[in-house]
Amino acid sequence: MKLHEALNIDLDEINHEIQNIVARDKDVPKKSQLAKSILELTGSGGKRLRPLMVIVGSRFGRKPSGRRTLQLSAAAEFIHAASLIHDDIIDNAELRRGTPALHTKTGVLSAVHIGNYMSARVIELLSKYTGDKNRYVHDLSSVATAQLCLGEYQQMEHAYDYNLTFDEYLEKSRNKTAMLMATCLRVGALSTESPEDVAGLLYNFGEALGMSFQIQDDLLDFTQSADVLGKPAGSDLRNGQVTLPVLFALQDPELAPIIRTIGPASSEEEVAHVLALINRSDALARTEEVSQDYLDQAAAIIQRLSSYPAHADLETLLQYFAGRDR
Amino acid sequence: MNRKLMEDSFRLLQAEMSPIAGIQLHLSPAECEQLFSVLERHDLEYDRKVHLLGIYIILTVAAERHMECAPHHPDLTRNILDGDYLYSFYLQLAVKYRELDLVAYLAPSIKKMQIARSNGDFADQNPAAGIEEFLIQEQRPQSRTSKAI
Repeated sequence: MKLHEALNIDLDEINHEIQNIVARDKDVPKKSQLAKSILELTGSGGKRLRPLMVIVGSRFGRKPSGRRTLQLSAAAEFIHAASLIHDDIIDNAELRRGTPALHTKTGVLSAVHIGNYMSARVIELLSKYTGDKNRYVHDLSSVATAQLCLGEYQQMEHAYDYNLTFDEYLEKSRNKTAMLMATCLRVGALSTESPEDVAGLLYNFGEALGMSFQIQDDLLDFTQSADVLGKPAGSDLRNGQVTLPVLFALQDPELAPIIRTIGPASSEEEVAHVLALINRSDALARTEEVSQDYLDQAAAIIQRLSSYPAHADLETLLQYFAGRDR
Repeated sequence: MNRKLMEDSFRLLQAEMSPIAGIQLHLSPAECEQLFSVLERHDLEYDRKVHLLGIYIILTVAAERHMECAPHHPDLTRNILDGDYLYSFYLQLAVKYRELDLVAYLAPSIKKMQIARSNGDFADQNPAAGIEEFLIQEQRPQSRTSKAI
């Protein structure tokens, strides 16, 4: 069963809302390059994890979810998709979800501004919710997006930095991935007027899930084939991203000096050799343990929310994230 | 007076921005001139002038950085990240200093600027005009502001 089915969420309704963000913008001609590019990107798949998290969060409120929750869920995907457009330029990626990345079709400068349009459109749509009590609607575009950028800065700063500490790695992962997921659950909850403490617990739950998600993502780069990943295996190491498996492997005195030789000029053979060494070490198992720790933290939060019927949906999310690599 | 205003705005921005971003904001007095004229025409508290100038600086620099996103530019990554960070920081600052009505007012014009630029239309778009229109509208008796709610 697919995740949205297990959560009893109408994915078509969310997809329709996502498409309407651009399709109903009277300032965008329907046949324009901008409209076509965005509709292609947002219609090309993706698991819609962030919108689903907004909807799940809304089930903890005192009011039933309505139009606002649906708009926030679509906004979460729009913001995520905008970040992917800019990520692909930064990573010089040619493909996104198996099709040519947007910037390869429009040119870099145009693609940057298409991503900007998506962010600006979300702000325009959500600005209709005025007043102090509605300030949270901007959390996705403000705090969460700023943190995402900070994660990217940290990643850029620490490329090929084999002295990266565990805390620095965790902070980067929190900024880059976990905080947007955490914010999705929180704004969903606030959209149906959940108590602030419940919204806070949901935020912590989303953060723990997001951390596990990023760590699993780092592991998949070692364990999955290029076909499954949609990019060459070992891309992180090749691009200088010092992920958790690499940090654990660096603790092995025999492996460390070999890993440290990898730099921007390393050959494919050298990278492949180091990948194989890390795969044979205990680094992947230790990384898996850290991921499991975060899932355990998330499970503990579910217990604290067990008086809410929707805690079962958190359990469904947890099981999905736990089984993602298998 | 304008020099002090600029100094105070830059000081505020540098204090509020994350040091991780490492963005150095540079804008000459001449580049701020249009907003100085707007602020002089309106009876505003000094602190609010500092915030509005801060918002103007962020929007101007964010747009500039994204205009410098040419393929193979040595600072391409930094220019993308700086622009992205500044646009989200703009919203953070507006939330903190209760300028969300200004955000709502400027949103359509900022969006239209992005549409134009994605189409290769790089005509200069100064946010000062939008800020002035907002201030005029705000001073009308029937206008609603988040401060009043």
